[in-house]
Amino acid sequence: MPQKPGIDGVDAVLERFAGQQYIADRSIGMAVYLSVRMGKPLLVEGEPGCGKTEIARTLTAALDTELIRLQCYEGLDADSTLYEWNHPKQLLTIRIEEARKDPKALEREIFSEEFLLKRPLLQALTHDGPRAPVLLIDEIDRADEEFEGLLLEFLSDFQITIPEMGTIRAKRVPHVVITSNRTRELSDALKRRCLYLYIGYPSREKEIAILRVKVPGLGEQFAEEIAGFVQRVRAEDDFVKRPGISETLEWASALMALGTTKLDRDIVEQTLGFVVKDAQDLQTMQSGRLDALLGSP
Amino acid sequence: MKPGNRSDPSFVARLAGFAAFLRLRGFTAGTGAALDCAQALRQISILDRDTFLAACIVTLAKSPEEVARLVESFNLYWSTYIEPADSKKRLAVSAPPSPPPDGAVSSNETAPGLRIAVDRRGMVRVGLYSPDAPSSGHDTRPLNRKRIVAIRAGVRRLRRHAATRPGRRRAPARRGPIDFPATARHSLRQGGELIEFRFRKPRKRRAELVVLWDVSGSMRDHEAGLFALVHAFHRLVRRTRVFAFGTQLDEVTGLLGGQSYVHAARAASGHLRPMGGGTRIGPCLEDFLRRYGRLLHEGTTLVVLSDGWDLGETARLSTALRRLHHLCHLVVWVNPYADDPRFEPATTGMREALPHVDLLLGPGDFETRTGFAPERLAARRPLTRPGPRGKAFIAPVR
Repeated sequence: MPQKPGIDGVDAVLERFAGQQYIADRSIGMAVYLSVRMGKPLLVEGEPGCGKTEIARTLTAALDTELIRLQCYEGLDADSTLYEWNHPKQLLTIRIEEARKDPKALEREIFSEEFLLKRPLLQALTHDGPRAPVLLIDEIDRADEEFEGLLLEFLSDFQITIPEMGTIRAKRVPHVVITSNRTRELSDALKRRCLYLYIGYPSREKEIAILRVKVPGLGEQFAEEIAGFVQRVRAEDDFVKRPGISETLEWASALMALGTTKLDRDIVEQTLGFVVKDAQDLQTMQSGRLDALLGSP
Repeated sequence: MKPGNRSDPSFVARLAGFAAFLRLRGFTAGTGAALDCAQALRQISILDRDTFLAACIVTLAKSPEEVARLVESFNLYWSTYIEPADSKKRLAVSAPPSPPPDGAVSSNETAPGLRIAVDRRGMVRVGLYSPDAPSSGHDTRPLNRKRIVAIRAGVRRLRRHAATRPGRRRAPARRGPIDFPATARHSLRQGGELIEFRFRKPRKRRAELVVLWDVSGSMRDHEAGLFALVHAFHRLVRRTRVFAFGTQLDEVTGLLGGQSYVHAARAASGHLRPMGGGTRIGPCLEDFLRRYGRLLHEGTTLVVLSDGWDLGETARLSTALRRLHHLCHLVVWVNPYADDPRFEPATTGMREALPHVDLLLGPGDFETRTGFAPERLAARRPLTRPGPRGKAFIAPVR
């Protein structure tokens, strides 16, 4: 069996993340390291587009394992997250076997693993790979509060109880990363089961470093100009939506694709939609704020 | 700072003392979190201060506000030696001199820096953060039982008007898509014979409310009544988020949950930001849009409790409210002066807001049985045009 790649310290996490082109600071390194070592879920909160989901992807690559993703949305229920019985197949089996088997044996048969459709949480528990998978529960704040209750047994004991089959325990405890944009407060019960990490907007220096790593060919001075402009946009207190790192990266890539090497008013105005993604903010920018932001040091 | 040896019993006691210290300062760090912290410290070098602090943050803080306050608490606790058994006595002199930026504090009445007094009228006055801090002066004293019952009845009437829409969850029905699990269970009960199909269709979603509550100085005389209204919203409409604003916006939903009206009133009085400094409705609405804009959708009803007094940034108020009106189904403005039949929107803020308000009410409308009669609602509606997206929101009350 292949050896599980060991992570033996915060520095090792930072090194491996850097190898995957993720510029992490020590707080991220510490949270990921402790989560892996202690086998506890990691709850990552922060502004949209600041690299929360990317942590799970990078961790997957760093551990050379598989990523199982559960995207949360309103109305998410047990059928979509844990398991579902293959009802059409069950009905067909009932029709075919009803004359040959007694009802008790038939019931046992149709509620066996063969008729089970595994959803992400059960997939993570029964994962057969050589290493524990990374389970990403993305944007949990989009799901209902009832869904958090559903997660509690899973996160504390890494087991799922199926009434017809009994309790299924994890073969290998998955590395769980839960992300939230903080559009609502999560329950204390859920938070208690997790280690906590908050990712805010990056400093100017960190944003420049991210740009240099993620957008190949971007000159240092141009990266500084882009990061400086985005930082000034973020500092505007009347904007509805502030740009995250993902917006900065998209904008830089677009500017590179256009062959631009220096920010000027025309090119910024033409590509403003990459940075400012709210109609009201765009209007504010076009009514004089853009000149002020470009003119600011 | 010398945190000591991890295996040293005195270090374990100090770590437990640190968790207790955090609880006294309003953190939710329980025994489980303290155990997590101890386990985390086994994995790292605690001789490095930053590493030690980072491990404490990961295990003991549960929100960005707590992260900021934990750094301050960490410095305070680990920079001085505190006997665990005598921690409360020592803590009383180590309270921070100024409020933390987020404004959240412990609800624990014995916490350092909290000074609680109840005057003859029953008004709860709480000094925050420091013995020298001014009284918050929020008058959330409980109303009498009769008024509370009347207000709750009014909120139930408003709930009927609040938006509902089909949800993703399904319920048994006579027709609709086939419910395979129910059909399979039913056929098994019939010995495997497929006799009839079962169906299910989407359930209606519950009403969703977002309440923006003005707690500035100009609202002082109406605060007790409006708090009763806010508490009734939270109690009777399951999906309700409450935000208090004056010069800054804070979510206060957590103060209202899981406790009686009287206890919630006391907690709110202690936790709301001190009055004074005026009202900045426009910037607060912008802040709400930026931080919580995703709460608003075509099924949300927005309730603003304010008299409309603003510090002059009314253009920002108008723009933000127009945006809110566009995003949600219904905007209800409750003005404490609107109960008076001679009421006219005299304040600049109110005049700017009215074009984007679907329904203007007074607190008294919630306490009278005729407050939501169709003819009263029609008269209270500031606009003649239909509501957002042309929906007729004033349905007859059955």
